[in-house]
Amino acid sequence: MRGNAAAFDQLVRRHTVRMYRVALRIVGDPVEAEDVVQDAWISAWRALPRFRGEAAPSTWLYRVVTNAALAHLRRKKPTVPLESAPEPRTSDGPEASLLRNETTDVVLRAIAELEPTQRVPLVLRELEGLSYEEVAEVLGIAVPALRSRLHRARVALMAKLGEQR
Amino acid sequence: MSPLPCGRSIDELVAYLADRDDPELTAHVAGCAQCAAELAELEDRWSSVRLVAVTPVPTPPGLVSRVLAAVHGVRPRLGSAPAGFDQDGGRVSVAERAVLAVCRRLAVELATGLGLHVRGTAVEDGELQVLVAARYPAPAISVADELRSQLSRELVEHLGDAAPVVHVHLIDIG
Ligand SMILES: [Zn+2]
Repeated sequence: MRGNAAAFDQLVRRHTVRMYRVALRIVGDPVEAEDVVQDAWISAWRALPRFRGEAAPSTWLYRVVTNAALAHLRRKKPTVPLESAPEPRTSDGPEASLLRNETTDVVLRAIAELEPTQRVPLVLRELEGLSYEEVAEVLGIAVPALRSRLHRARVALMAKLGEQR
Repeated sequence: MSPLPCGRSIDELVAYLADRDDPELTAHVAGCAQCAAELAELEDRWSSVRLVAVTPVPTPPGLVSRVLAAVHGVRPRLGSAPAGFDQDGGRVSVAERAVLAVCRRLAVELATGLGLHVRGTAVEDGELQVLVAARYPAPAISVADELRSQLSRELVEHLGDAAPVVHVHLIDIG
């Protein structure tokens, strides 16, 4: 257990930034993304005895954070109206390109409006850059099913971005 | 989705945009002004998605330490082990792990209902310490009190005499 704990802390140090990025892109809010990351690591810790390299650690962790994010979206109550939600904090200085931030905000808002079943594969494939095979493994679905979900996600996203112009 | 004058659809062009694995459509687009124009517009939107993919996401300061603290809080502590305690999955360890897990789960459930965010739980000397963050300062203190009393009640219900005393600490606001 002692050795496991040290190895696990190492995993946490190495992968938390990526886990946070995925969580943020799925739930769309920095405070909630941190909730998701904490839940994800705690379930990863509990699942550790059953994890014996049946997948690469990164695939396994993508699955854990994705499941935590989906569970979070399911139990989230729509209490806070969108306009009163705080702006995400960024560490960019004022010199950061305003145009770039505006573009990325528009895209992230459009992604946040997708159905979770479309949003999650889209984030993993198009933002995280996973292969079709990897995304299918993370989500536990077959590649053809993934392809059709992704297709619907892309069509919906392109339509939403078209409305913004 | 409505077809273009040439009979192709936006759907087909979106699929083409992502995978570019349809030689027949490649040939068609080369000779079709409508498809070429639509594709250019879609490519423009798609490039903004590519931009997001390469834009770094700012990580909240101290995130990794808070995650480590949260994980350590659900781990049995070596120092608190009684004599003969088997750290590698003995019965005592299982019981302690279960208590830690119940504390964490109930704290997160109740905090979520109250609009608080759990940033760590730990049992120290038989007492449960819960670290929470809140978005809005004004109600945070009374809500933290409310969390403490709800959590104490729930823990007694789940754990009986084994329920730890509960302390809630506000560590971050806004
Ligand atoms: Zn055409």
